[in-house]
Amino acid sequence: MVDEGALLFTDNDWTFERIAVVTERIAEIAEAELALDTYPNQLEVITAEQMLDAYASTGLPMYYPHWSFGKQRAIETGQYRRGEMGLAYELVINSNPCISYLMEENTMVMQTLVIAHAAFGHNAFFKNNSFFQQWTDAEGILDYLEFGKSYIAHCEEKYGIDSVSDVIDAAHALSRNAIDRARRPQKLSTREEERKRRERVEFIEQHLSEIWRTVPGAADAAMAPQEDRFPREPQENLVYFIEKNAPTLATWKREILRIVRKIAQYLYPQGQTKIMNEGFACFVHYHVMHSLHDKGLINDGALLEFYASHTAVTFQPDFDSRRYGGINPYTLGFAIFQDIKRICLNPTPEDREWFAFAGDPDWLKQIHFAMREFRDESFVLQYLSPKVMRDLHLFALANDPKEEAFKVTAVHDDQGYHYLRSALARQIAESARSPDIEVVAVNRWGDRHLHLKKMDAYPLDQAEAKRTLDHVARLWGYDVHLDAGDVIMIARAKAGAS
Amino acid sequence: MSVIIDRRNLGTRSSANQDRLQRRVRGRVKAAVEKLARQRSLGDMLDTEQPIAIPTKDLHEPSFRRDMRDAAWEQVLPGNKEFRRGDRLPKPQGGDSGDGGDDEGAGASDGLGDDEIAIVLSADEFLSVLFEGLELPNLRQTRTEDIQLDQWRRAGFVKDGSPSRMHIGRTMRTARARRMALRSRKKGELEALLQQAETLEEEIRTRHGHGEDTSIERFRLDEIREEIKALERKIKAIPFIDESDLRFAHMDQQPRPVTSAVIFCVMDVSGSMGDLEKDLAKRFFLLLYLFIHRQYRSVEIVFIKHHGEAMECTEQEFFGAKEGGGTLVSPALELVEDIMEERFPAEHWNIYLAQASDGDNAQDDNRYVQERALALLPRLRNMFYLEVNQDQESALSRLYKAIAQEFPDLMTARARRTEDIYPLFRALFTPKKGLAHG
Repeated sequence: MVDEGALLFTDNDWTFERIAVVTERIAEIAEAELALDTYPNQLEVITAEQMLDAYASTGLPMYYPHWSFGKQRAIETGQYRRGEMGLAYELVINSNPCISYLMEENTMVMQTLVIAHAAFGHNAFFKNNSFFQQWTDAEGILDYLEFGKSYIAHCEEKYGIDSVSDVIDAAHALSRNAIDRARRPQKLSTREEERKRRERVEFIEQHLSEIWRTVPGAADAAMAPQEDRFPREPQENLVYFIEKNAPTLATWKREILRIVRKIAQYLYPQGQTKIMNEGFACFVHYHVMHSLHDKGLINDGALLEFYASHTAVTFQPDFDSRRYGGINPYTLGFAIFQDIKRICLNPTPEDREWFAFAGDPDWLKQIHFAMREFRDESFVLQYLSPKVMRDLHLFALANDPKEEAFKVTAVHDDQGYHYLRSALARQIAESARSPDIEVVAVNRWGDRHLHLKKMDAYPLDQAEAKRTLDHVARLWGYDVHLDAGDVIMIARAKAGAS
Repeated sequence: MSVIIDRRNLGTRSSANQDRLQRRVRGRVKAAVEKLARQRSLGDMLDTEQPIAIPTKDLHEPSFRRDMRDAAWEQVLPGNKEFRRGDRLPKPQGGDSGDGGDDEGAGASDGLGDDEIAIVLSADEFLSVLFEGLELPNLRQTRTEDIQLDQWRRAGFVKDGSPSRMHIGRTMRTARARRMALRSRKKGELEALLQQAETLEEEIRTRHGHGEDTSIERFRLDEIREEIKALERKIKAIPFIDESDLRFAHMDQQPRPVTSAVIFCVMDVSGSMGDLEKDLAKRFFLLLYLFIHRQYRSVEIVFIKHHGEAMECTEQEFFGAKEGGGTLVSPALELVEDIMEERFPAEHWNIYLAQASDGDNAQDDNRYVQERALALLPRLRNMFYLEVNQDQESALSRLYKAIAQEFPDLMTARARRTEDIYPLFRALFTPKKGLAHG
């Protein structure tokens, strides 16, 4: 359909014109061949230094300043300068418009790859995956980040950088326990946010005086009604609970907790869909690059360069390799998405046994369904096929502390497939989850201590827990008890801290 | 629809984070900078960016984590080669191979060791930490840059003025001086009278014992007692503050900004100064030079080197100086005085004098040094004397210390080793709280 002179580029230098043309072509392919529904794209060309900045703040285009981001940047700058770490070619933000960063060092082939991967692959995933749809608000995030940043700047000015930093330190320590896993969050909007902030201030004051109506004292403890349990049910979102119920926390500190909590919640789905998100983006770039080549828009050299990067990104070192650092989400995700297409187009008898959709000629519908309706855990449980397990040579290894040796519990054979698949799904779910620590009670009538309880079976790192509890106590303003299963830890509130 | 934006010229946005990181570890950074300042030559340090290793434990971010070391776990791994179900693999020594579920925090190695990160200070940040909190003592400061040439400025003290301009420090000081002066003469007289009274009483007692007449003596004693009473009254009546004590900050229209300051660097380059002594002196002056240049844009520096005679020189000649010969300190002070009178009149300039020497001055010169120093000191904001030698404190140093009893703005210090210089420098330029500024 396109003649020989149609190559989009022959030499490998990028220009803004070429990027514009390439983006247009990819958009055509994405729509016509992959039926991708995306947010409008905003491509930003940045330097390596700016990429390091973006890294340091978990990719967000703006963030309130905090020393931990400086620390992160110092670590990554060091690694980058010593050549231990290559920068990712791309970084993309779940926002509307969807912002993708293109590094200026990239070749034109790399820019093409990045645009296909990020601006169309990730972009479509952000917009269509139901988990993202429910949990994040691409429309509001940039505004909200702006609000958070300026609010915290305002606090720094008013209360001093160090006192603000103390609150953020504490909030960050708990940011992995700042998620309502079961509840769908509300949409964000800056103007709304500011108006609501004022309402909250008033509400909290009323609400608090309601909870803490009593003056604490020894005499009162006896009068405490037995059935008056607060909270009525255990609360998993520690930050939310403290923000709403800490007896003496200053209003601005509550607001900072809220900002940290909202951002943690915005980032939450990314940790839950890493395999799918990267897998899908790889699937898209793989299709797009081949399609560009098929149409004569890029030459063989460009395709070979693409292969080199693609294989590097989707390389899975073996467990006994020194380069092994866990299962590569790019590899696993890409392998499964490619496999879904294969199962539709070239099913084997084994596939027909395992998957009801095997042989469905509408592979794109299956891909879209998989991309929309799952998160990593359920995705693996649903789609990890024996073929992919064989290709990756997966096996399961168990540790029993009482035993002398590890035990191989399953390998990639007929007896092992089901076992492996659910073991991997469980492993993914656990690694994405922080220890389940919940608020079980508040001593309303006595010394006001906060009672936390570890709800899952895994042992806690006690040194870490102790230091984290100190942060909790600082925010709560009174003692905090943590029932960690085999041990009860207590953090004392420092006098005068609030 | 896609939009393409060039963000490259926006620069990095990490400075706020970097700034907060440095705040967070400022104690460490400060200690590291001071250590560098004590050991390395300053010139070297300013050429490159300074990486400072900070232990990450200082920057630890706790959170609730699992500890899978002694827990049961199961992991799915890629790359099986020969294992079959039920195979047993020996556990590696040390125990904690698997990280179970929690795959974060396995900090990649980064050259400094896993437990350190590097904070890179620019030369400017380095100096800012190095000189943090230091200032030229007694400097009368105004905002310099945007001030017009003809403007009302503080210009010394006068005996009358509006009450709002009354200078308490100066006033109290004059009052004290007056009280002391008046009292001391009267106290002398009182002393003499008491003496007389005592002698008379003695006389009376003796005569009384001998049965002689004492009426004349009694009469005289009464007289003296009257006088004593009167004197005591007078001493008591010396007013705590007299109108004549009042001093007012004077405002005057002056063509020069008051913050103009000049610092005279006087270095002994005589033969008695060994390599180490010269190095110590130069280190001190280099710190001073950097400090002045960084914190005070409008401060001028006059370099004077001396052995038997003194000459003004350029900064290159000063820091490169290698000379010899005998030592006379007084010519250097004379030269300072000359240059002052010629170019830096004390009423327009904050004048500082920093002198470094091994103190090995010709014996009879110290008398002139004293004269010159006493003449200079009232016109100086401060004078710093740094003695650099290995042995005994010199006569010159003792002389300065004696003068410092009267003029606390003369500060002396001794350095024996390279490491002494920076702490000593800090001590000299750390503002002393509560010191009445003249």
